Amino acid sequence: MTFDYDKPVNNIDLLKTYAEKVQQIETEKKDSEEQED
Amino acid sequence: MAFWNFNDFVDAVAEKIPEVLTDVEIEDIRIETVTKNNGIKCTGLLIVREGYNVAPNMYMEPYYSMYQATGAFDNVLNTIANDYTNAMKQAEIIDANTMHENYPEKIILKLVNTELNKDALKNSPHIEMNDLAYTFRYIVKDDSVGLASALVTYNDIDRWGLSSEELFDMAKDNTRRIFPPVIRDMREFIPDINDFPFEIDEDHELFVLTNEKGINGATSMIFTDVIDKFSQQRNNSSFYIIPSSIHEVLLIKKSEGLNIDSLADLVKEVNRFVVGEMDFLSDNLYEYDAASKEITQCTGIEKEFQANEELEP
Repeated sequence: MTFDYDKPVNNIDLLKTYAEKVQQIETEKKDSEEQED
Repeated sequence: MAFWNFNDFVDAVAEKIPEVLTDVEIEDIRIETVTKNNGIKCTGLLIVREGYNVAPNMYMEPYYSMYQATGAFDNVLNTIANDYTNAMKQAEIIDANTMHENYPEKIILKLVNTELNKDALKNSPHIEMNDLAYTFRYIVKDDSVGLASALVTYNDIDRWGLSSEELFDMAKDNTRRIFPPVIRDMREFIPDINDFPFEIDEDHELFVLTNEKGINGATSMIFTDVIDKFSQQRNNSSFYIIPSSIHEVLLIKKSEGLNIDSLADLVKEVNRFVVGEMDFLSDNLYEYDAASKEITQCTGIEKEFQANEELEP
């Protein structure tokens, strides 16, 4: 039998990317709504 | 100096490693191509020790990178020897026969992408959920340093006399006990989040669903009771589930202000440019519905991600 060894990961960069991008989506939507108004 | 190519490097390691592992009685040394998560092929060096029927896969790719960076083959060889010795310490308490005796306490779930792991899934029991599959792994050793585990095969469960469904119930209980699911505010994971050039809208806060050990945490999606409790604490909110990687998924509250098409595009974009191949989980957005208490794949998404779009820094 063979086995793999996994260590805990640090996905901070990935999480940061999502935090920034989700906020960008929100900002773009607000800007778009303001222009329509 | 001239550097060895990868194959010559691996051959040299296989030839020289017994000279470093002088206190190990080596029965056999083999070089094998191993298929890892998402079908990624790696070259494993198997050092089989006399009297042991378990052996760690020592993947050569990171060691070759180390060799390319330093040119110091002897140092790399010593590192491989040390890593092998440490890995074998994890295995000393079990052998393959032990696996068949204590499996009820040791089988856990791991969530993977079905299509990318289809070859491995041919020989392994699994439970599918849309484009994802819960696979089963046998824990060789679990401690603060990491997790040593082996994929459970159909041969194993035939020997145990279990169906995939019976195995699933057992593995789900073990996973909850050994890898307790957690949902945490994104802020807890990003120490310098206060330095962000914007404020995160309260309606669109991101929460991280993972487990306390941070290994294979996307598997916590199986615990809908945990998501339900979290939902109840937030006025019975429903959530979109972003499959960020095999180690965690992200929850974001469903609201009118959130554009689902943009969110679905974002998942594909980040997967393409940020997520490592081995950690990729899915390109599809999921949702948790507070009324039905179920997780389903989002449908009705219109806009398609353009592959030539660049991810902004």
